[in-house]
Amino acid sequence: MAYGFYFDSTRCTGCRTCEMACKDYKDLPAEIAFRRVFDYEGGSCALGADGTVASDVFMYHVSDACNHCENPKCFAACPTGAIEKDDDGIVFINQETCTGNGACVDACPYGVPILVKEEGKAKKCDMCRDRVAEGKQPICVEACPLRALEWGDLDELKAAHPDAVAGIAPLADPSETVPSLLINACPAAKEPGDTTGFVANEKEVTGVAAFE
Amino acid sequence: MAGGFSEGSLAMFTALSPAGALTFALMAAYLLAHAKRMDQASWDRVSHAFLVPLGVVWMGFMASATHLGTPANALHAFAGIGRSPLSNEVLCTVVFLFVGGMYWLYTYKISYLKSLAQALLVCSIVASALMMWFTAFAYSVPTVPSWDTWHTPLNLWGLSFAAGTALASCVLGVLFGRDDRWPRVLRRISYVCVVGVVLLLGMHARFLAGVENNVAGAYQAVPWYGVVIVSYAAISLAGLYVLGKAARCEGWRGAVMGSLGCVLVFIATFLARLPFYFSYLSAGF
Repeated sequence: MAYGFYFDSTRCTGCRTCEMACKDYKDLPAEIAFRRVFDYEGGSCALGADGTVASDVFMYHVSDACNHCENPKCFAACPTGAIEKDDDGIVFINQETCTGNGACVDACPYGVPILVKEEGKAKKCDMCRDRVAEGKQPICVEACPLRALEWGDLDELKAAHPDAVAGIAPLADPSETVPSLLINACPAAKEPGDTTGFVANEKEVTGVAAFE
Repeated sequence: MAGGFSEGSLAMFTALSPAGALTFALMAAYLLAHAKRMDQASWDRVSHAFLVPLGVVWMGFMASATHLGTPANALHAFAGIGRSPLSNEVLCTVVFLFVGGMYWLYTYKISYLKSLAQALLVCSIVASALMMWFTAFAYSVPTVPSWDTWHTPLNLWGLSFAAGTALASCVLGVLFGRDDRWPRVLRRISYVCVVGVVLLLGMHARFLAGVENNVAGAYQAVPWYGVVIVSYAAISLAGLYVLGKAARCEGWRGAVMGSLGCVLVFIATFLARLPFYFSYLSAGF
């Protein structure tokens, strides 16, 4: 059995309650978030000769944490074996053996593991293993006011949401790692690898802004 | 990885260690090639000079250890052997240092078995080849398209050959002077490698222009790649020129000039490694 997340992008309003609940529960500092909400936007408006405006503008949110992939690249890259996958399919970092070498950070196409320099350790979402062990849901799922997040046995989630896909832009191509993630794509959603849009809150969710 | 400077220690490792291992292998090949007609004193002089390439490999290895946030857990790096490219790289480096170090220490015995020494030299050559192989493929991560390319191993090998042959030329030149053919030939090979590396780096820069994900392009992170290529060519050629001048000097003057030439080549190699780390771009974001 493997647990997974289901994300309904038709419901998500980008309120970040999931992100804040996680930060609060995990007591994370301001600059670290295990769950992030991406604002993906694109398109343009054009004024026609007849004075009408044609628009193909789109915008939607994607709430993403560790996807506890079936084929986790972080796990494969970690030289110390600090990244483990338990019987429930939860991928977690053993803080005792992590050396903070950053191989997992480089390998994850979702940019999930975060290197905490002060501690010399990599950290990431562990699907609230402690809560799951108590029979509870991950805190982000419980906190979502729009019920856009669901969690449970991946097979059951697939049965409940047969039209769900494994990825939408700006998330990576799911064939790389086979994420334990299902998404109900909103009508505006683009395929993974799409380059017609952009992450509007780049500084909030990625380190790419440092390139500029 | 937001910036390649955070990977400066890895750039140091990949600039020093594979080149040092190649220098060791070349010096070992020199000994094996001259085994029958070389007197014991000359053999011992070369053997004791293995401290130079071993020191270079060790410096790089130590630099890479500073990359770890928690060095106390470094021994866990062997846990991923076979699965993690990084573990394979670390294992090969340790094996090389062990075998090479064994040989170096062994030759300090008052009398030693030449056949065993030669066997250790052969093992060292194999270990250095494995180390160069696994270091070059340590960055084969399918989810990082800017690294998972044929340019990565070729660039590393090219840079290592350019610096490794220069260092071997310097050490053998200091030991045997201008009469020996090997230092001269190795220096010429180094010149050819530098030209090859410049072409390879140029191709890599061109390749990066076409690598992008949802949020960025790989070349955006290294708009100064061209400056690095020109700097690499200028500094390494200057280093080889000084090395050539050193070959015409006797005694300590030749040694100092040769060392200066090698330092220049290694500085150029370190510079040429930086764009690789800066160009990190995930398939996702």
